[in-house]
Amino acid sequence: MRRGPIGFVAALALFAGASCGSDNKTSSGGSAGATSGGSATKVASADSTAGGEGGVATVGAILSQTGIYSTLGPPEKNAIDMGLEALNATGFEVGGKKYTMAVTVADDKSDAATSGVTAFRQMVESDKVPVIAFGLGSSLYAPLLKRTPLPMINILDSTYPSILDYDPNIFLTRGDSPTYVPGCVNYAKTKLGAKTMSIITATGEPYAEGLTQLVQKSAAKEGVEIKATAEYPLGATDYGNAINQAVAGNPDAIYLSSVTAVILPVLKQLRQSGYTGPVMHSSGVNPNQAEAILGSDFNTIMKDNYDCAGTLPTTSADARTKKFADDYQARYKEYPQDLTMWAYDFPFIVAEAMSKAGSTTDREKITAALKEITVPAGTVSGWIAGDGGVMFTDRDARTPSEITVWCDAKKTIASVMVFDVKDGGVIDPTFKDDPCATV
Amino acid sequence: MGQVLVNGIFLGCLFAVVAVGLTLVFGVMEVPNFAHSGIIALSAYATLEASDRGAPFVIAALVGVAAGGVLSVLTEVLAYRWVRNKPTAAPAVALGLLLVLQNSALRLYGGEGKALNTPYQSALWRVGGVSLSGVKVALILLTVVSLATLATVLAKTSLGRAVRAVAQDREAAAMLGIPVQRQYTLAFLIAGLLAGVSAIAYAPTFQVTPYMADEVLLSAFVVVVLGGLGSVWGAIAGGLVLGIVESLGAAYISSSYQSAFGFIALVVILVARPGGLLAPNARRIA
Repeated sequence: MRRGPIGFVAALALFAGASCGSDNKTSSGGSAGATSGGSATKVASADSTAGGEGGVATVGAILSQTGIYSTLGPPEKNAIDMGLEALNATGFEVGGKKYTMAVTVADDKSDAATSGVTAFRQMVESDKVPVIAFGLGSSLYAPLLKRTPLPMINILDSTYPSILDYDPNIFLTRGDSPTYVPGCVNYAKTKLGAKTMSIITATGEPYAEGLTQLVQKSAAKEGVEIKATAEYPLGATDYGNAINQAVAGNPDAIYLSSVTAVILPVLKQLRQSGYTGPVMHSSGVNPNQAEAILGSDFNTIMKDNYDCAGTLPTTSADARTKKFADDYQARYKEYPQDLTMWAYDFPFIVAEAMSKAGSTTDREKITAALKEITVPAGTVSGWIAGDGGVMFTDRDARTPSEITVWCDAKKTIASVMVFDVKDGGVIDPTFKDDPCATV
Repeated sequence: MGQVLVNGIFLGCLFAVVAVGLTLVFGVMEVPNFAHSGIIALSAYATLEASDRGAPFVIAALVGVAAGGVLSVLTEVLAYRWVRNKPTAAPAVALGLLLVLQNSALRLYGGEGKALNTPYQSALWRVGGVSLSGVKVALILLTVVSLATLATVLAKTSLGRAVRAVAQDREAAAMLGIPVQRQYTLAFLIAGLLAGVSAIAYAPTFQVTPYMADEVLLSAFVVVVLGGLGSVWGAIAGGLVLGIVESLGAAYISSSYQSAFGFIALVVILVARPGGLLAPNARRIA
């Protein structure tokens, strides 16, 4: 029997549905493997299996070990490994007893809606972890948190509007997008002389959409004209039409909204189309990623490239952060992304909250304690303490913001401007005259 | 407008070269070969692997194309052959194969994007107000050459005539002494080689990942239906129509709904011509 177009289209729909959740790799790295959603593996340093006299406090982490955001999960896990080793070298006290910590890591396969939610249920209902670290999927975990409240510490996601609006149990260990995006527009105007900009953005991707809104707002505040906001659907592989739209108005600079794995192919096609002007983004691209994704021409493609985000481990002025960057690079032979320092600090933050709460298991007490803790000793990110020295202000802990520039002579990035943001505008900017000379 | 049309032709060529591989297999065996996406990804990785080991680009590209052919034949030999007379099982087998292939790539190479370097990736020509990048020109040329070769093989050689005969009526072809099984394998071989061509043509504009062809494959399936199931010329025409429709829609309506325009075109054409643009009726693979 021959099948007609309708049957074929039905089969096509089956493919579309299946391919959405088809990235199910079992990955390993560091001292222990991370497993696919649902089941998970403990990451623990040698002494943590025994623990102190109090035992081992086990917490969870749902990270994107595979899939489109797999540029994020493995480094996060590597850094958590390092943080755990440092924390467990001395242990931490809770109620007068010494504890060590272990982290159960699950892979959300870059698909928080299915694999992430499965892992969440496993951790919360079966493993009974008191705290979970995570990257993607705040909006998806929020309804689950309403039913089973526990503190979730985000070590990645700074969308706009803030993920903190989703649920009072979510904490964020980085400055939200509004703390760094205005720096891009300000720098473009004051240092690059840009009067006009275009934006190329991924639709259906919350981080990208938030960045785009913020660039538009900042541009209005700074008096920079947005010539075009060109969009492409997330998952697209050819951006030619969006690029045409963006360059048509001959803008002085182009801002790319989204994360590293998404914006680098756009940047590649943008340069292949002949655009040679300044490109800005807030993705935290590091030289290793640039070379891997852009290929042998990465140095040319990255020329005139500016990245506005929180401070990076390698470009930070803080000696502790810098030492962490050196240690990470020496151990894993890769350039540490910004999220690695937040991931490193995660065990210290949880330990501090458990100590203050007097419990390694009481989710409610640990949530309350997180709101009160001061910046824990041993952390490396260079946190800006809030009023009274607390680490989290309105559940957000943050580090300074900066802009890095690509140094083509040295094929790396350097900090060119460090700043803070108040009421949507840049304050206290400090500039480096010849940033590439010192890297 | 010129740039929009060039983008449309580029997209159309990409869709066409992927869709022809799909429609060839469907025409002969009636299998919706979702695994084609995995073949494309693994062909790209094979090219990358050869390139990383120091092979010149042309050799690496040939390795990638050959890998596509071999893998495609393996999917026929190891999986599709066993469900040939169970057409309802074919989509499930195809999806299973896709998962196997993509997860093999994930296991072997990881999920992070990798660049496929080419000697022409920096080339850029400007004609009037239209810019033509080397990678896009290469994709268009590779598509034209490979599809012209395929058309010649199908029309002028005994092998091609045998494939067409099986596609038209496999029982009659068998009675005439044509080895039907061999034609199935041949169809998968050609589809695999085309998957390899699309991988080396398309990867340099994007990045090599296990999922690099999923989005393109969806569009290619639209093209297959649009052009008429089993029609090679329909797939070529459908690819160009879809590419240009998507490009015009993105330029003049909204680029964020680029893929949606293709599906709208599909619905409109199916309503007007339920068999597709060039419905082959009793005669497939032509």
